[in-house]
Amino acid sequence: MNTKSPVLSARNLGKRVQGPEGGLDLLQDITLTVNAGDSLAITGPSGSGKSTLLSLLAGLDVPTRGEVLLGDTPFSSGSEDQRARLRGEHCGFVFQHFQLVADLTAQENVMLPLEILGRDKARDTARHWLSQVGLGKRCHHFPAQLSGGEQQRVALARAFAVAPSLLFADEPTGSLDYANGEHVADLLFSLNREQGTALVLVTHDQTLARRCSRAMSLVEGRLGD
Amino acid sequence: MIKPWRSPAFRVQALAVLVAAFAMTAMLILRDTVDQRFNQRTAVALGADLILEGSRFPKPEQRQWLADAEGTRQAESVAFSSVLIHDERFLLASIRAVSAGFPLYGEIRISDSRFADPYPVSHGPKPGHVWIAGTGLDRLGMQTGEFITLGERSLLIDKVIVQEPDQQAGFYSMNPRALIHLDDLQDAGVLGEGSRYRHNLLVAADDATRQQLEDRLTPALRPDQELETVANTDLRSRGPVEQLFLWSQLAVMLVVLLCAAAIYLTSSHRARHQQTLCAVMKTVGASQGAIVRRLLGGDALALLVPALVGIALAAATGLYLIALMGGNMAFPVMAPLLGIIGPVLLWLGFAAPTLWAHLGLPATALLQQRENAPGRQRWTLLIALLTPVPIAAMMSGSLSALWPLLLLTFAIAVGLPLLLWPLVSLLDRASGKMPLAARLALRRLSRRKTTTLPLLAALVVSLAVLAMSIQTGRQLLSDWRSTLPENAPNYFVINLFDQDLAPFKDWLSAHNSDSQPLYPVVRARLTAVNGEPVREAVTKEQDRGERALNRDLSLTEADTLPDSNLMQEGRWADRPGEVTVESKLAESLGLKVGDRLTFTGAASPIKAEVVGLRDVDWESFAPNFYFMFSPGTLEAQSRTWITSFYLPPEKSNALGSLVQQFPQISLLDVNAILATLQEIVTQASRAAFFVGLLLMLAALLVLAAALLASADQMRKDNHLLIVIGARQRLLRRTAALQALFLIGGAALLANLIHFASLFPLGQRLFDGQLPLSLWLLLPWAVTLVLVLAAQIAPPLQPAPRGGKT
Repeated sequence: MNTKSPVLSARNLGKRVQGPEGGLDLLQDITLTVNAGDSLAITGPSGSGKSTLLSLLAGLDVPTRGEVLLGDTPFSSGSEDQRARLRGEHCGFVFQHFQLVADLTAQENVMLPLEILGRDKARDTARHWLSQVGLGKRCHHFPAQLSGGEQQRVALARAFAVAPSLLFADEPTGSLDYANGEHVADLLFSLNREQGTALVLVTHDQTLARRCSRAMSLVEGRLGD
Repeated sequence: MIKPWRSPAFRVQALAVLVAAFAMTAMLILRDTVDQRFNQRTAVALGADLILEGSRFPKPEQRQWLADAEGTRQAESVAFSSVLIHDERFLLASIRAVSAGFPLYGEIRISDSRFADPYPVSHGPKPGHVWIAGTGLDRLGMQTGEFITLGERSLLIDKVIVQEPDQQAGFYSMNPRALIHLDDLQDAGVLGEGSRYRHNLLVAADDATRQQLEDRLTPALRPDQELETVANTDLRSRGPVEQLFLWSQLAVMLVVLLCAAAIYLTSSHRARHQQTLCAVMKTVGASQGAIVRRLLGGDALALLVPALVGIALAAATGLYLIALMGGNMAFPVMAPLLGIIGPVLLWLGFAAPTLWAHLGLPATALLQQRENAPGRQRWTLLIALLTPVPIAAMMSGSLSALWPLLLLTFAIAVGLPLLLWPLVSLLDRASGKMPLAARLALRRLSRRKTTTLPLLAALVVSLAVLAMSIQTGRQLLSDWRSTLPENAPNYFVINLFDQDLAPFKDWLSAHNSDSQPLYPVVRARLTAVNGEPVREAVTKEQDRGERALNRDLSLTEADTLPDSNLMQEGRWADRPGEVTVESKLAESLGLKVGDRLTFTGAASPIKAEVVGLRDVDWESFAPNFYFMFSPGTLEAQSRTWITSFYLPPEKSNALGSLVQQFPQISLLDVNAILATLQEIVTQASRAAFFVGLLLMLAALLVLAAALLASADQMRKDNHLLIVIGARQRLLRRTAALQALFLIGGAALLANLIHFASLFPLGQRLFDGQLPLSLWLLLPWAVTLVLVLAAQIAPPLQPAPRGGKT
């Protein structure tokens, strides 16, 4: 990936679905770029299309119109496996409900994306990142044995373990109390700065949005500043 | 009633209800049908449903009670020994005087003359006539159409007895048998004061009437009288049948429990999906009753359909079974009616409590998908644990049979998963070192032990039963027969007399037949051990011992140890007054080397000292004996001879000449016995196969239910894997490995059980070789199919958001 080009760009992105009453445009004419080190907050009311936009930007869904590029590489075309490969190599994800695999330990959850990519020393990398988020002694605990805040920190470690160029965070503090939420947000932004990762953050939380370098608002499927 | 069917979880539940209803109803029908059949056969063997037996004629009031019983058929017989006379020839015969109506059950096979073709009749001789067994005619040198005298009565011999329907005679009857009409008994004047005879009043009645008569007669029995019925007769020998019922009921209980597990898992799944509906109904003010009707009522009504289908299938199977058995049985109408109770109990025990538990939660808790309070969960679990008890009671039909069934069910349903627990825990620990797909697959199983262990146990049992039943039915017995030496004896002959030995050996030589040694047989009863009456001396009696004490035994003497015997302790009996004993019988009777035994036979008592204990190969085709004396010990006793011999199949016509030359002998056709055994084994194997199929179906239902219950979580996990870069290949491989670990693991354990079952068979029947078979691979074939299905099926993923593009 060319380091001078944006890490992520979307051009005239649109998503139309067929509903019971005919066609419905979930997104229209979405154009944005995210450079390395940028942090972009996307806010908007419920039903405005934030999750749909996140899915398109992350290559989890295919747009009806427009395209998404990861660096110079088309991200919205290609087969599902091709998109998965690109996603695994360049993107990290943090979700509102943590999304840890309940049957794997904290260490194994962090190893997951590394093993998928076939990276060496996955175990050592996972231990390193768990230490980075303050859970070095909880490597062999299962998610059920961790608090909400701890689970989200494991998710952060998992997201950063692959050294992504782009991090997607969907309401990362939405399921946490205020104190834990602040702690996780601090971790997220500090790791982001240290790694130079581009961050795309979807959130209702205006306080969190203000911590990003840019914010855009999604209203009825259209993006505005 | 239609709406629930849209839910995959409900469809699995419906199938589970259908299978459970079928299994339970079929079991109830089978139990009733086999009971009827057994009673019929026992009644034929006994000659009646109830017999009042005594050494004198019954009391007038006893006759009156029987005469008053409605809906019965009755007959009377008097059995005694007496002399039949023709000119100067005498014959001591075992005579039975029978009334009109005899035989109540079965038929007497007679012929019009010696060696004529026999035919069945269902009546006895007329007054003035006598039927005599062929051996009797031979000894008298008479034929049908001649007259013979019994006491003061002259009787016309008009038929030859070939076979009587009841079991009064047995193999070792020394005296030829004869039948006369009861009316001729008094005229004959052979019975007087002090005469020895047995009088039988025979009654054919249904169970209820029989029980009433039994209750009435029992308190008024004289000391010489006995009441024998189809329920209490020794002929019933219901031990093996009761064992068979117990194991069949156990198998059905396991099927039902598996179906219950499937119902429980799918109910939990449905309850989770109905939480929102329940919460909304609460918030808009619906009453508990309205919510119950909406959530539970629809399901309950809709489940009636599969329950009735299952019962109907079982009823059809029952009718087919009755037709196979000859059709002379009433269809057990109560069984389908009782069968509906089973599915109701299952639903009330395993489905309703889970759904009911949600009614107690506040709407908010439901919307937030909070778990039930621990107290409610405990109630749900307790109800589930107690539900199998009334189901087991229904199937066993009696309190005495209930506890063994419950214990065995508990042992397998709980014991087997507990045994598997350490294995699964070990794999859980080892999975940390495995590659990603294998680790994910194994963890999905090892981290959910409450689902995985019962499922694994169910698959192990069903795969093992399937494979073993098929191999047994199709192959085992024929493989064993092929190991037998080419000229293994195929006939046993008993009742040869001393004077027959030389001509018999000549006959064997004439037909190029090989025989085992000839053994003398003396009938006697063990009456004392070390001078003490045997009932006091023997304190430990097991099954063998019980049989040895209560009947005449076949004793023999020999100068060498037979090939089928091996001395275990002591030495062979080679000095006068010595005996060796079969080792297992000795153990059951508490006999040891040095004990002095006393037998009472027809002549003088037989006394001998135990000098050795022998192991006996009862499966050899040679005569074998529990007690073998030293040569000469039985010299003073009256005896017959026994041996076994091989006659090539193409010379089987020669048997006619053997029987003509020695008309008193009995011939046992080993091939016919083995053919009957093969048929029994095949039928039992078919039944076991059917049960194995039911178990397999039930196990697959639990598998489907477990998959449904975990589907949401699997969708989430698969979605996460895709998000962080996994390709479809990883998801399919993980699913295939999960199937391999679960079903392949079950196949491996089933193989171990199968192997273990073959060891004793190999030792006993195949000279220590394992009778291996391709059927051992059956569990792996099932594994392959399911693993391929898991590999091919698209991985579970969430539906795309927002509808179709």
